[in-house]
Amino acid sequence: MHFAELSLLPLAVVLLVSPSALAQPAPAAAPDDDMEVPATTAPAAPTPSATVPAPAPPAALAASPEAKTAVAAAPTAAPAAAPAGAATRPKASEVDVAKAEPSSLGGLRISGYLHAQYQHSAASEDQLNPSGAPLNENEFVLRRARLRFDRTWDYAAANLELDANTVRGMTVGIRRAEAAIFYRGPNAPHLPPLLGLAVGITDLPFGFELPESTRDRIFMERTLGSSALFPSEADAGAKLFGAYSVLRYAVAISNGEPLDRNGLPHDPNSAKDVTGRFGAEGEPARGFTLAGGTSFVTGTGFHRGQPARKSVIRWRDDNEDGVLQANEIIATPGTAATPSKNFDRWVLGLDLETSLTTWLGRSILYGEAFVASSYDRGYVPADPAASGVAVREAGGYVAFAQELTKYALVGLRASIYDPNSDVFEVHADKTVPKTQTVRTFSALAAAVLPGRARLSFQYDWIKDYLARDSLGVPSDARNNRWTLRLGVDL
Amino acid sequence: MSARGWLLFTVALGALGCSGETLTRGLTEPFRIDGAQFQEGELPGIPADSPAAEAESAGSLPTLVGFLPLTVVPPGAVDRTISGTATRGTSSVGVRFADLGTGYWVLPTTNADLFSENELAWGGLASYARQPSPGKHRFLGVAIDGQGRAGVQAGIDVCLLPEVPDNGNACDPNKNPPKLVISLGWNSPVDLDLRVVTPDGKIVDAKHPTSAVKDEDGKLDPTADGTGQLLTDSNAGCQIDGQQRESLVYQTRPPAGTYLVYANLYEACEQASVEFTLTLHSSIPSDDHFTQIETLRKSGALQAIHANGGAALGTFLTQFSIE
Repeated sequence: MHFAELSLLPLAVVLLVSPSALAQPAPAAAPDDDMEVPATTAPAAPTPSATVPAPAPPAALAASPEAKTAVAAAPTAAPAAAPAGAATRPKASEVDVAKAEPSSLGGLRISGYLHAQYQHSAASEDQLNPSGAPLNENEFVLRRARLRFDRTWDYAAANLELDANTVRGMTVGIRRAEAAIFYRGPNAPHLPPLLGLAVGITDLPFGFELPESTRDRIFMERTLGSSALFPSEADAGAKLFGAYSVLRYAVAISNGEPLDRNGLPHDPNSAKDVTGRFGAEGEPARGFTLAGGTSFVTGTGFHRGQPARKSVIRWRDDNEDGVLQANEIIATPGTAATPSKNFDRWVLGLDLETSLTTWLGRSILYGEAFVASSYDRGYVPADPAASGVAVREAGGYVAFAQELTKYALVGLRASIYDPNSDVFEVHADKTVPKTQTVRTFSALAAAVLPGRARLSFQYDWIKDYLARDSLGVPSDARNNRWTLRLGVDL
Repeated sequence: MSARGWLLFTVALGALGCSGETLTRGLTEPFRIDGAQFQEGELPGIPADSPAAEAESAGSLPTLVGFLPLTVVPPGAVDRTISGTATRGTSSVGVRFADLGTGYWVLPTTNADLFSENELAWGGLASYARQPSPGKHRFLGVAIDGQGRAGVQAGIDVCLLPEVPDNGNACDPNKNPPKLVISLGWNSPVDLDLRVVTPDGKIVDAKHPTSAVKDEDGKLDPTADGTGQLLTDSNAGCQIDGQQRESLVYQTRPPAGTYLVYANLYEACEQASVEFTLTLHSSIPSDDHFTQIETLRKSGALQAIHANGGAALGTFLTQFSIE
């Protein structure tokens, strides 16, 4: 694979700038709870009663994505008060919604959280689209109501997370369901295990955003590019993960079909997607953390064939008088089924993240960039089997967040996504490139009740080319939006 | 930051928030064009009847050469071609009704016209409102070049037909409207039927769409004078057609006697309820021609529980007599 060399680049960068990180363990901090549930302490004995975890205090730092994955899959891997590595990312418990102490019931851990919001879009219209769905986007929404159950043992763990929301009507479904086995090896309790295997509906290890806990996420939602490539964070599959010193790894093999209602009911082809991330994280100096990694996906997409169609008779009102005439009856003969086709697709991404703690609070600067081929599955789904040409996609973002004491947070994020770099259109008898690039600038301010709740406001300036100006040239559409959200732990 | 700084910051935020073109589907406009951009406001360009239009005869501005909108528009007409050509240099074309709507639609020009290399083609599929302002309206178009300069507006008369059949009387007073129209319209996708009991005792409905009665030989003559014809069976069998109107039309004077009018909910089509309006329309003399006027209006509602599959006459709405 031609991106094999590139995949080691960020790792090398991290190792160069943080040599001391290899020699010292990551600082103690609360574990990540990607989805949600903090890691538990290792049981004293392999009995159910001994696996009852200690409550996790609010974390000081967030774990990196792969560490989150690892911890989520193997909750016994890290102590409640330690991070799963020297992470640079703020976590909810520190900068926004803190984790509530989960309930325990005979070793079964129960936790959850709730995101309720009012959202407003300048593109909203009090009308229906052709399929009858409302075009109004100014509404109260229960964005997420999550309930998670965890059970952990010495070498095994399982979790089930349910999600309820009203984004597309009242919906309840499985957000995550993992069965995991792991071997801790020489790794310290606050690190992910040396080797772990999770099977089920599991988060995909790609970059920072995708496996990031939605409870911990600073901004309201993932960027457009991330949502386009991965309409849902999780997929059904198996994931190998672990840590060695400052190194982190995770590789998943999955169906490659988004687990949302827009996708097919199950995997349409036998080929599986392979997703992975290799990275490192460390704390080169006290209060200064650095992490980075490279991610990839390689897999096989599916072009849907057409079923056979029977012959039909149609009326075409040629003279547009609304009255049927004999010569306006058109017989359309039936057609044979067309075959479905597979096509290759891939993504390569880089991520880098750093944070610095000062008297004011933590400052976090992070970003990702990716290039992809025919992997858009959510925004402008790629189908090169239809066009005969692979679709080139690219995107990325840079974000900065600043704690203002532990009671407030502000953040800025700039993202860009180009769903197809090779689109052309004919305008005024000239074939000209047509950009579909979307740039989004987000500003966020939040008031935090540490360990309990976060009230956030985010404004998104969206610069795209979805409309046309009076000259017929693609121009920015009026579709900026803002969201006011209250998040509270259950 | 000073107070002035905060003010500037706020204004800048507001300006950013209001930037961009609207993405409206234009459902409240008298027509819309798929894939076209809606712009609020008057159509740019030089009105054809202004002195400036004559001065522009030199042709320095882009010009609409061919202009082919639909000239007779049934209510709710969908996907009707609107197209034309414009001189080279034209970047886009704007179209709107002169006296209807709040803005105009912009379509970019595309390839060179197949028949004239010096002209650029443009076009789209237009859909029209179901409840327009019936009558004749001026439809305008204008060519706009890459510098935003608009040429002389082109215009053509377009007839918007009413929902209730009038034989084109709204656009052309010389066309006589039907003598009587009994029209039932409703607001949700249900199979609602208009039923009229004529003085002969015949029930005119979707299954018996003419008021003509069989003669001694058992034959019907639906073209006979004084015969009413039910034009459509809307949403029959819950095959939703979007019309949601049924009209019994008497082109000539109906027979004398008493008429009973019913609305029958044949099938609710998974809807909870339906609101309907019955109207009667008569032809009256006006100057040297006839005009259609509404002589009765009555509204009501039915619930799904009232659906009877045609087992009953339905809900009685009104009765009237013809002398």
